[in-house]
Amino acid sequence: MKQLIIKPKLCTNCHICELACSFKHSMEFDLAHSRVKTIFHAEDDLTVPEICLQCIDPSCMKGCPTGALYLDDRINCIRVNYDSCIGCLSCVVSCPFGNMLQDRSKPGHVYKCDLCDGDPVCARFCPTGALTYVEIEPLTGSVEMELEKVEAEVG
Amino acid sequence: MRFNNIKQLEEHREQALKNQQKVKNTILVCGGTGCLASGARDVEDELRKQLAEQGIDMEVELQVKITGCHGFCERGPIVSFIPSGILYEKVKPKHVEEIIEKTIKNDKIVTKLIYKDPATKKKVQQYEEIPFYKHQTRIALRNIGQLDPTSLDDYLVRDGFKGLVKALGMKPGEIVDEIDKSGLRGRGGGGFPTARKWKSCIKAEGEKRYIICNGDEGDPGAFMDRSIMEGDPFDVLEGMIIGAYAIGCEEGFIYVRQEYPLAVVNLRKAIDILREVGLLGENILGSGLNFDIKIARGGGAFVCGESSALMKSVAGKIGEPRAKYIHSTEKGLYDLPTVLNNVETFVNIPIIIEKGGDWFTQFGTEKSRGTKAFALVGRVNNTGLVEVPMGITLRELIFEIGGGIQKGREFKAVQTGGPSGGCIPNELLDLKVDFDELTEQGSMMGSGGMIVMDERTCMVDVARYFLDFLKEESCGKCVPCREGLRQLTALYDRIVAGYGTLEDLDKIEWLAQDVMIGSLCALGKSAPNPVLSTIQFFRDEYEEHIRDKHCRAGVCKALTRLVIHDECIACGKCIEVCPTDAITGAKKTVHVLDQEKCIACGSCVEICPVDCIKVEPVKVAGEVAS
Amino acid sequence: MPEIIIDGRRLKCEEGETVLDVCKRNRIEVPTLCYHEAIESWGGCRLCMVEISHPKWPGWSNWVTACLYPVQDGLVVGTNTTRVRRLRATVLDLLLARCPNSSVIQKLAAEYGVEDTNYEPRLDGDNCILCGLCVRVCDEVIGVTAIGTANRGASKEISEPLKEPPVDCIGCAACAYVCPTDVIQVIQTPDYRVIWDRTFDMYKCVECGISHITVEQKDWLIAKDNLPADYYDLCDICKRKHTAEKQKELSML
Ligand SMILES: Cc1cc2nc3c(=O)[nH]c(=O)nc-3n(C[C@H](O)[C@H](O)[C@H](O)COP(=O)(O)O)c2cc1C
Ligand code: SF4
Ligand code: SF4
Ligand code: SF4
Ligand code: SF4
Ligand code: SF4
Ligand code: FES
Ligand code: FES
Repeated sequence: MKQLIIKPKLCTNCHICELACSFKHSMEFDLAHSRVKTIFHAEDDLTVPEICLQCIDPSCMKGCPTGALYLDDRINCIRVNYDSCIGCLSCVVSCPFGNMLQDRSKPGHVYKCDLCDGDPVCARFCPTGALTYVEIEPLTGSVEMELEKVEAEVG
Repeated sequence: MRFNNIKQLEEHREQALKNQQKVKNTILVCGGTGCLASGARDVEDELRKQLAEQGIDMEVELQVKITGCHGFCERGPIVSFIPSGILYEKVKPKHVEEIIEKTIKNDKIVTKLIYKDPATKKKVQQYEEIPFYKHQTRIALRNIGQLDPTSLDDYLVRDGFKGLVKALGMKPGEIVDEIDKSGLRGRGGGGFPTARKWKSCIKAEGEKRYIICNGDEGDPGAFMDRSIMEGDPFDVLEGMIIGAYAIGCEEGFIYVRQEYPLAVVNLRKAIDILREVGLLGENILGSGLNFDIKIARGGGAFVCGESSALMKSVAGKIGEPRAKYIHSTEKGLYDLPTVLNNVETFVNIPIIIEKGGDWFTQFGTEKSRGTKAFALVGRVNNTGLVEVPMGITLRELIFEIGGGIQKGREFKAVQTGGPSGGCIPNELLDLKVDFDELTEQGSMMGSGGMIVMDERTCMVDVARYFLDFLKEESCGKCVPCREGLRQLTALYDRIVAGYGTLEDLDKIEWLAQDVMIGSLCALGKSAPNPVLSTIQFFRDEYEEHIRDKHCRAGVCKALTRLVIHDECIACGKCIEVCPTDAITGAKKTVHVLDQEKCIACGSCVEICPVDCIKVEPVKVAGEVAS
Repeated sequence: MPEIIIDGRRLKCEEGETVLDVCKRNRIEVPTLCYHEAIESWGGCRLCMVEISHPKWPGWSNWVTACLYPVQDGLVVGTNTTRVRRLRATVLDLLLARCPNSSVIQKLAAEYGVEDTNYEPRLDGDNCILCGLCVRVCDEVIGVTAIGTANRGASKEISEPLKEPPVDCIGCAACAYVCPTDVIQVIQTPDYRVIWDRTFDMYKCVECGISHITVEQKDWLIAKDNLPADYYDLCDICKRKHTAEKQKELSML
């Protein structure tokens, strides 16, 4: 199964992932619509492309009263079924990592990384390899990957 | 006292029979809602008082009983006598002295109190001889008016609980087979075969089952179920106990309409007595059957009589129907298998079990067995509660039992089936009254309302009246019923105000058809019946309203112009009754009616001895004040 | 597994599914107004009516609501027959008369050939079509039953209990979100939200001060899931920052 892997050390904070994501999902180049967000840490000169971890035991899903969040097991992705969503924002407050997002211009509208249905544009357009979508055996991949999963589980 | 087994019950019945035989005379004072309203209690009190004063021993020689409704409420208070069968109507406390003196002491009749047949003007003293009763076959109503509804002994003397005793000796399946054999169909309106309903509930899975008696009776003017619950409550409960044994259920409800306080009182008394003697509760008559019944008070809405709405209401929710693609016999009260039957359906059960399914099939028609109770009202001479074998013709019902149309007027139509029934015209008077024949003519059996209309009824107005009722009573859940009935009434309002067009009439038909198939529950699905049947049979009246601005019955005020014709004999009666002083005239001159003042109330038409005041078309809509 | 025929297409379905479920899965267009996937089907708007028949009962056909009708093997469904289209047109015509100003209804009605209502328009009303979704989402999904209906028949309306601002409401605005005709007014400011005539203070992120949910909804969620009182202190944006912080540290190891 492929995973979206972040390698902050390679990130140059170019925002290409965010623009690609925004365009893919809203046909607009507007950073506010991106599912991925690059967060720059000046003190360490390091940028983290922050994106949903597709948790193994997702809090967002547990918080949702309608079952609108579900695991798409073809690509191991937690997705929103908008036909079931009632806009209550429980998921937004439930995700401990801030990766379940709310559209502040459309009340009740939530969104999250959907792995672009198996072809994440952020990774496709990332020029440096800071975001990659690669085949990885669970828990035997890169250090980052493992840490990420550990993080996800402790979170 | 508690009956632990059948033997103890039968011993008690023997005793009750012996006690009964000691009584030489029984005076029955009707204690139905109608007679109570016209003062039956006062008559009863006066009777008891004077009998005591005169030292006449009531307990043994003479009993005064307060009974259920005789179905003759309009002439109440009713007092009758056993064994002589004499029936007095409109009895007042002031008559008591004379009754005691003549009837009780000397076996004589008080002539002024006996019934006079309005059709033949003959006086009839005997209960059974009154045409109203003579043509009836009383099964469901057999006990009503004949016993004290709160006395278990009275009920036992009249063969009460014989059905249950027999049922407990049968297997549950055999009971259902017996009902099947009888061909009994639900009396609540739909005419669904009772045995089939029970069977499907027995088959359904669920950790519990419920049985419910539908005593909501929301049809305006209907009071069959009320009379049964008030006048023969043990019978209803016995039917439910047999049902509980047959389908295997421990908890039952009887859903009584909000407006029926006396029914609740009598049912509650009966339930308390049955609990005390062990006919409700644990191990009934030692058979192992555990069953209890609770009373649920209705929500006060017509739609609460609909099965799924009723079950919601029993469960404490808002009474709104749901789609019944899954039947309530599988998922009913609290989503568990539930049998819901009408009051009248239940009272037929004990006697069918007692006498056998075959016995029942002698009444009625091939597909509609047994009898049906109707509330016969409207423009007939005898109105009241009647029970007749199915298959009787409308003509017999209206002209023999009902005694024909008041004041010798012409019959126009009869509406069966409550507010959402259809109107059946003169041509179809020989129609047989059963479930299928009525449905075929665009009406229905309903729970048994029957309204007779004569030439002075406007069919457009009739349809509008029922629509208006249903529009208010629609629960408002689904669009075709809620919005459709509102729009239909609006279209009718245009027609009766004189602004209707033929296009409006087409719209009415079109919309009515869509409301019929588009609505969620039977209220909406049947609401167009009065509309479509009146259009089918009385289209000319609609067209008269629209094209000629004429309401021939003189009911639609805006389309009524009253004119005094030359036959006027100048009697002046019309002048007296006119509330707006619109009529003037002197001796020997044809009276004159001032259109400006006339409000078309019709009082003058009613009173004119020579029928010279005629309804004529208005020339332009709005010409006459509405 | 049952198989049914919809508009001539033979389709596989699961036991217990409704006709609408099958239509949705196979992208067969059936209009709905009172249906929502998260809420139990109700059958009130009657827009999803379809025509059914069954080879087992020749000559029999009926009109049922797709959102409630359970599939049975062999069922034949027509979602777009003349009679079905007429029924839907009538329903929409009636709704257009009820809510002449609702753009949602105008658009749907136009699809069924109704540009102007043939009936008497209600001029003083709002755009509520009484689909009941708001009441049902609040009761069935949120579970607080803050609002209900009043009256019946033509005068039925959605209403707060006793027409007072609803005491049980937590201001989650789920009702407004599911309302198909956008009737339910929500006034949102950075500090408060007004819905059902009740004003709710917003709960603000302890770091950035941006508000995300109402105080009542926060308290209700905490009580429902039995969580520590500070559980929802951060907004999504600040939570993200914290996550990035941690990830930065991890990646610098
Ligand atoms: C609007 C409406 C009102 C009804 N009211 C009554 C009622 O008052 N009493 C009744 O017994 N059945 C009533 N029914 C019929 C019931 O839904 C149900 O069919 C009946 O109680 C079943 O009993 P049965 O099989 O013994 O007839 C009503 C149905 C509708 C649609
Ligand atoms: S990171 Fe948040 S949004 Fe993503 S799966 Fe986990 S809990 Fe859900
Ligand atoms: S906003 Fe939608 S997806 Fe999120 S918890 Fe509520 S219903 Fe579920
Ligand atoms: S048909 Fe009328 S009464 Fe029945 S559910 Fe619809 S609105 Fe309610
Ligand atoms: S905002 Fe209030 S009324 Fe609406 S769903 Fe939430 S709790 Fe219920
Ligand atoms: S307010 Fe909206 S959701 Fe509620 S019943 Fe009306 S239209 Fe439906
Ligand atoms: S109440 Fe006495 S006859 Fe009906
Ligand atoms: S969507 Fe099926 S009735 Fe409204």
